[in-house]
Amino acid sequence: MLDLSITKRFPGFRLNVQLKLGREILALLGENGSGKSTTLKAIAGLVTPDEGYIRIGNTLAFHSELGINIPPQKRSIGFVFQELALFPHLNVYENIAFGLKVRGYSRARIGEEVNAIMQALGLAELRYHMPCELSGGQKQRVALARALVTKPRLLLLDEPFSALDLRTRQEVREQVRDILKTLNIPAIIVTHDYEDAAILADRICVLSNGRIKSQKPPSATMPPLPGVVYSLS
Amino acid sequence: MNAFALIRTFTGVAVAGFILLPVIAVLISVSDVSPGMLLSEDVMAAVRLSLFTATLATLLIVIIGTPVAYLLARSSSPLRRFLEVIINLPMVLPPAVAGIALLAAFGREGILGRYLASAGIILPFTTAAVVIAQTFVALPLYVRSARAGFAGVSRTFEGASYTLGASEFTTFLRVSLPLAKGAIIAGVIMSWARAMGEFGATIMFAGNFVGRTQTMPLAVYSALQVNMGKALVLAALLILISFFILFAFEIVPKRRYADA
Repeated sequence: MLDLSITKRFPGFRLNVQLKLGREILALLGENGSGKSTTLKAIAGLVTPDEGYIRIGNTLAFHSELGINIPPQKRSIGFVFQELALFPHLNVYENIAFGLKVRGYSRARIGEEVNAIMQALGLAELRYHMPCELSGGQKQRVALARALVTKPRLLLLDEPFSALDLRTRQEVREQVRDILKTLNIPAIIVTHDYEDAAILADRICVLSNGRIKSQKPPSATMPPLPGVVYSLS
Repeated sequence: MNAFALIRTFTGVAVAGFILLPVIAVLISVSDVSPGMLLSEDVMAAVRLSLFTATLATLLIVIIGTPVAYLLARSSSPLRRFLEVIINLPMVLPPAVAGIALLAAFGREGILGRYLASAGIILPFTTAAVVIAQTFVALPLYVRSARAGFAGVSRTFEGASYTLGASEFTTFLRVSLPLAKGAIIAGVIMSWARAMGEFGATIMFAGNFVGRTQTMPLAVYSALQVNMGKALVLAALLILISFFILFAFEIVPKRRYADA
């Protein structure tokens, strides 16, 4: 599904990541500054690596030597940002419809698909609400719906629960897990929380200092301590 | 009340009085002028010309200034600082110098004007020259405001738009522009106000011809020498317009979007 090997240099830091992803949910675990967000943005095309390649499905999205760099618009990747980045001037419906509207779909088709996903994620009641009126968990679901409605090949989630309080976090995490299982869409979740990774992922990659240190199924990594944030140091 | 509090209060009242007294003086003096003066041909011509040219100049400023403001807010090129200085230049240039500079460039003998003249295009001392002078001096006010507005739009919103399939231009229209709307409207009001009040560059580059290049500030200046009443009527009108501008400024949506 996804195959990449990229290098990106920053002052005092070098990111060098090799990664293969099948039809699975992968957690990219690491502390702040380990390079996990940059890796995710490189896959989405929002950051350009210095060297390497990124293959998504059968398309070569990036290849430094061949000079290939497909823009983010054409990569068909759903991205849920850490800040969620719901468009503050658009209501819930308009936010979710955005990706379909820019594709020039008919109003009827947009209505149909947006309504279906709002129904599935329990957002139907919130149709005319503005993002600033939503709770943390509701925003999270809108961001997910907006990313999923365009039917991406791959879903990327960057610290998706970091803005939530502990209780909402557990609730939303389970909702997200159920949604991902139901849709059977490959996904990469970037997190610094071991619990997030253990509950959501089929496989965990630990990223440290710009390199992947270990790849294990959740049970074989560190035992989860309830409510305790996993720290690598 | 201690001495410092007394000084603060006194200066507050004094400053307000210093600004308000001349304004009120115009409004009091104008009450003695016969209302018929308002409808005199050259007063009406100046009002019409001012509204037309300032609005046209503002329109031009928005069209050319918006992409520049976005470029300044988003570019990381070293040339950006250079461009920024150039854009701000007309703001610190004395208006009379701006007028001479425009003549030197676009006048009949100007470095570009002589070629325009040989092509049959004569700019100086025309209504077009009024619009050019106003655009020249008011452009930086708009660009500065719009640039600050675009800079305040988090790039994450644009990144989100890209991953959803929107092109850079669509993202600009549907995300960046609406999120910078308040600053853009504020910039429009400020540049329109500056264009309405333009005097120095206009009189140099466009001259002072009734109905063609005599805008309201120029008409005040001309009337002062022959008919104080007419000058007062025009001044009162400009004061009313200024109040209207301040009011418009107040009702501009101030709401800043937090990251949601």
